[in-house]
Amino acid sequence: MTNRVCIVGIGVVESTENTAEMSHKDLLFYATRRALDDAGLERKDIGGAITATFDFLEGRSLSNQYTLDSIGGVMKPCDLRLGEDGIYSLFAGYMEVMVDPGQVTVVASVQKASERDPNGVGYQKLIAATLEPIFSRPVCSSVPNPGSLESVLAAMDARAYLNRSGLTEQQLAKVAAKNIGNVIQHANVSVPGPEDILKSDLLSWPIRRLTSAKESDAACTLILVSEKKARTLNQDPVFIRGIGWCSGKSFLASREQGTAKETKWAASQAYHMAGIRCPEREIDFAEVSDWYAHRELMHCEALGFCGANSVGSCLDEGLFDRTGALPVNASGGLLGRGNAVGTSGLIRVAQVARRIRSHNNGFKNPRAEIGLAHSWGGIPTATAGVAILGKW
Amino acid sequence: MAQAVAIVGTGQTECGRRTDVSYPELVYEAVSRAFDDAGLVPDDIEAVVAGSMPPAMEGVNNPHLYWADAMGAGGKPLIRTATCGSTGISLAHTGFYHVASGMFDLVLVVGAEKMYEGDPQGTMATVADPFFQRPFLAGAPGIFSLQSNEWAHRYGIEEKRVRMAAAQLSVRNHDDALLNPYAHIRIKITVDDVLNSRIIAYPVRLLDVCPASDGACAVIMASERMAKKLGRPTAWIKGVGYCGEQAFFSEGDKVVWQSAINAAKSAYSQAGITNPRKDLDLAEVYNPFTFQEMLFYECFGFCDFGHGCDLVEQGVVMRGGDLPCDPSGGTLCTNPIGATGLQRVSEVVLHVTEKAGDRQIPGAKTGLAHAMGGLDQFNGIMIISSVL
Repeated sequence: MTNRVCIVGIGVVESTENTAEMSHKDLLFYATRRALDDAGLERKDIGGAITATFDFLEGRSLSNQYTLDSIGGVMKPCDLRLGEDGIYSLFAGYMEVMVDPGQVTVVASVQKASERDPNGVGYQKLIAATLEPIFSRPVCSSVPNPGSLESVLAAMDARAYLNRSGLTEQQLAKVAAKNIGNVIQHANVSVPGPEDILKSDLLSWPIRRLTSAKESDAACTLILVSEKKARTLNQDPVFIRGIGWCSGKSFLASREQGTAKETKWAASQAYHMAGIRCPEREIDFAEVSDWYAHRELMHCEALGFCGANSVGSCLDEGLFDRTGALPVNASGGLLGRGNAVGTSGLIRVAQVARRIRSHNNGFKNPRAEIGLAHSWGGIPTATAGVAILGKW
Repeated sequence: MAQAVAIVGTGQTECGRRTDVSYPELVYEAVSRAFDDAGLVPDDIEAVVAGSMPPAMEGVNNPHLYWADAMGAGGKPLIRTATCGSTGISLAHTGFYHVASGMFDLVLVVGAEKMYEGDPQGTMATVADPFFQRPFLAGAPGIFSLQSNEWAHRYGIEEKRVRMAAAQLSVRNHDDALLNPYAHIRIKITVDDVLNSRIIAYPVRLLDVCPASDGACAVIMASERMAKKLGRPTAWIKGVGYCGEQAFFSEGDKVVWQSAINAAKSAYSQAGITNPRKDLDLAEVYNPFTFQEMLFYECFGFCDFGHGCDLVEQGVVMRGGDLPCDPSGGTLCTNPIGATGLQRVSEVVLHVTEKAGDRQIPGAKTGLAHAMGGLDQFNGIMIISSVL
């Protein structure tokens, strides 16, 4: 079989760089340049281009109107623009390469949160604009502090989950401490413990400043080719073994809070495609959406990383730690690295692909052959995307 | 390699000012008609593709999620594609890739727009670059009138001749729209009416411009295996082509329009079309402006460059001609933007499956569907045939 799809180029720009000096176009250009250099390709080699972003967050409509130039997509035979999280561009790119195995497809996403209202009120208005306008939006607009709308919605979900699972606030703090610690442990800086997390500002119980991911700037570009094409490149390909995505129901009031059904459905599609029957044994590591600390645990449960009702004990036993049997968000995740809304899903894929490529990469678990990347968005319809990457 | 992709069902809503329905209800109307046409139910669908204009038009971020229930997409893979005017054809292409890649057997593709509830020209202005282009823009007619003037000037076509050909096209579209129960503008007009209608942006006049419409369109795509199992009238996608240009529209040549040429060449090559004038039985060319349709004839190889007017004068592109174009009344008479490109696909499907009713082109076997979008920069084409 020579029609499998693989990632041969990875380019990421994150807010650890001086993104204030870069426009949206610059961010994407540098990410794409790095991905092309990584793959040993040039702009002329690009056959198709796909971008995925959220228009309202850009402050501008139709992002591929202006991003095509940056990602080398001008005058290319195939171009798509998705209004979704970046991980969806991977799915669309996968399907394009399956249809035309000779094609080099660039998939990209960008987010520049730092150009939005720094106090967050503008962003909260965007959250309200994402809600169904007739019933849900008027109710949510009556939340006394408009700056807390997103936290209020997340808190409803978190409380339902804590009630159902019996998990405690301390365990949510443990998740945040783990992920933040995964980022800063290299830098000889003191790592906040769960007790420090619990002292951070309360936004809407149990959501705290440090149990919800801070927005950030980022751009990510991946280059996809068929296995046959990859053989012609001097590159270590990472194969896409399974993909799955799913959306839940749109009406907020009829949604079952405290569950992650969309993630479960997306994962079952991806596992079926990848031939994975027992994810807790077959997945070596994962980057899952930890937009809020409780979501990481919900997602681990939905992805089948632990048995029903045992996610708390798995967390306490260190299963998901960097040194555990199934490291989750060893990169630091969204809580540690920041959440570039709309781009973070593609960055999760980039991080999984990098780790698969880099063999051991300083992790104690030497087996890093099959990794899972996951993305989640919750308003107005819960959507989830799952990609399973492997060495072969 | 790519698997064969069939279209097994289409559904369109009546277009116009649809204050009788909400946005999701409008979508549901098109989707339920597509299901009836294909003899399927929502549970049969494996994945959904949906799109519309940029969300500023709807006033709802991610509007496809707002319609998820109306499409029966809850619990299914759902993806949004949006490329402004070409959204509909981009949706069709995205649906095509879903099936052609072998990932899904039955995919629902939905495009919709409620332009009376939004601010179309205001939304389009937010597509343009905020520093250099936006301050100069005067809505879509401003951009496309520049293109019309450049085209006529490049080939030295007399103004009187261009206006007359454009007026004939307008009359043809309005006549055809009277045969299409889904069309928005359904009025009988004469060439004089067009020539004397008020100027919107010189040389474009009121009857040279499309309306803003509410409307939705849905199409169901299937793999070869599934299409044969269903055993219903089926159209086959024979070729797809898409091309995008640079962000600044002033940097490109919009007369010898390379993205339109590239998209057509790519689709023709996949479909094995060497002489489009002979091989195509009809074309649904995206024509929000009468002048632009003639320019597209040239880019799609229906005639030589500079000879677009000839096809109108000789009646080639009229109903009964060699290559009838826009027998639905086209975009000129109905333009719910997010659905428009998909309506072009849907109309070609109706003709090649002989389900077009009063507007049927007799014996049509192969047709072209086209849409243009972005900021005067994207072109997408799909070739559809009754034969696999």
